[in-house]
Amino acid sequence: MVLAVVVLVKCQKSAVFPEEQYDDRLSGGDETVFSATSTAFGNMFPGLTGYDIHVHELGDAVFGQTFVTAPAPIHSGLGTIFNNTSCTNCHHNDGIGLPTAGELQSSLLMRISLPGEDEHGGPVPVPGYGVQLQDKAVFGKQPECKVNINYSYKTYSFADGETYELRTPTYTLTNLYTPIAGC
Amino acid sequence: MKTKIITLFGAVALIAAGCSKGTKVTPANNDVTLEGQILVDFPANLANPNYVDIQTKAGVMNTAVATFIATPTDANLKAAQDAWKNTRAAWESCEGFLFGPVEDFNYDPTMDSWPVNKVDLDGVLASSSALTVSDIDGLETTLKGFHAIEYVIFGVGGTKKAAQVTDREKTYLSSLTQSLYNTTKQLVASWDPSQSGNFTVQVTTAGKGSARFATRKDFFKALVGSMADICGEVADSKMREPFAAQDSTLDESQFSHNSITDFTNNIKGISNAYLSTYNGTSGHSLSELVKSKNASLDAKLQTQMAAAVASFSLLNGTTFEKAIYDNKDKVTQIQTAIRTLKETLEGDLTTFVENNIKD
Repeated sequence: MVLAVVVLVKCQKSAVFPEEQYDDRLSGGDETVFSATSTAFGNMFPGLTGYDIHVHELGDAVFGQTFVTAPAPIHSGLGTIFNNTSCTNCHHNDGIGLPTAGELQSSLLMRISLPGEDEHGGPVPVPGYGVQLQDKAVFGKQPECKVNINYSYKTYSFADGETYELRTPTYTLTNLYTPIAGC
Repeated sequence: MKTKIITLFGAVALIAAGCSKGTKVTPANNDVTLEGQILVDFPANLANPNYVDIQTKAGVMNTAVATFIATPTDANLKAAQDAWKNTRAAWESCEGFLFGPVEDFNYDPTMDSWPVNKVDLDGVLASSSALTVSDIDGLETTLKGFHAIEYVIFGVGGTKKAAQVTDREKTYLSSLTQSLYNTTKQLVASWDPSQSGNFTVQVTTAGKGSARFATRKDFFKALVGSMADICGEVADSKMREPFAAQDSTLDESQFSHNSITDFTNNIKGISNAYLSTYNGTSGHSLSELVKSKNASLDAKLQTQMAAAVASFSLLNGTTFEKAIYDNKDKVTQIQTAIRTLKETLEGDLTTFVENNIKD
């Protein structure tokens, strides 16, 4: 019965992963690839064939492209303001990166909004900034701001007395290119 | 035999003790299996020597640039250009095993981002902003590294003359090569067994406490994966994009006309990774392991690697910039040889690793 369900699922497009096949270890559902290396997220769905592989590889190539300021013969159009120069710079090995901001390969970005909701229930953009802060700019242009992260460290104890240290971030914005409404 | 068992248990006990404190992994590898010996020899015979070689050559390039700046003759510019090509050769070889700190700490994009952001680079040169090494360190990766240096010392078309290198370019160049040299030193340190937190110990303790490789198989999968990846990058990206677009301005090392050499060294790097070898060193390798259980697979892989490297000789005497127009069938032949190798790496060799690497 289970086998038959598997076959039926694989023949359909975009089928819901059946409840009875749920397994904690299948973090990718039907498309789980068992890899525990740092490049695990780089795997495409197993069982792709032909044209689908080609399409995947086209997208994968774009993901790794580094963009530069226009005009340029290849990968043109960076900026004027931006967060990073390629998808992969933040998404290391197609996954996550480091929680730093504004540094060369930072992966953290800051969203910003005014209190309340817009007409669609989404965040209210900040005049002059929108809903995301771009902390980098092409040469000769000014980014929206600089994002600073500072940590305070505090020591805690387990019940048996062994101590551990946790850090708490504080985020501040400096070098604002224009004042932020209400601040 | 008895002594070895005691030593092994001793090592395991030490590692267990280390793990319970949650801090250190004892970097002992008394593993007498071939897998274990490969874990020792891969860093010792390939990774560390390759990275040291890159650093040495980057240092030579840095000095050659200083010599050129002090005495800007065409001969000294040529020496700087040759030093660039030599550093490049060592670097492109290491792309056969592009995993670990070179990726995790962004040494690769810091040194080898492409394309160069020409608009911004020209803007930087035209401005009077400071160009110290720490200023370079703060620039986007597309404004520094190999290709920014290449742009300055070879120029568009590769015909730069010493007299054409402006004072501003010299200042920029000096900081670029120093910055790159600094990064090569960081790369060496990241694997150096004498440095705390080094990656070599992550490899040698794979499956025995390594934070990075929970099993020995994980290391070999990462290795085979990176060998296949560079095949894909060369055949289907670096070669394919300018070729398919019939546009040589899309070619990576176009200023120095060094692309064919780069690609060849990439593929040689795969051989190095498979044989745990670099510049004549020899040690226990994946090839040995494959050969011990499936001699014909090992022979097939070595034949395909040699064929892929040899296929580049089809373009002897020309540049990749010209070949994409004038030698289309030869370019295709080279891509085919590389893709054939990639298929075996992703197919037979990956299956071999899945089924044969014991933990």
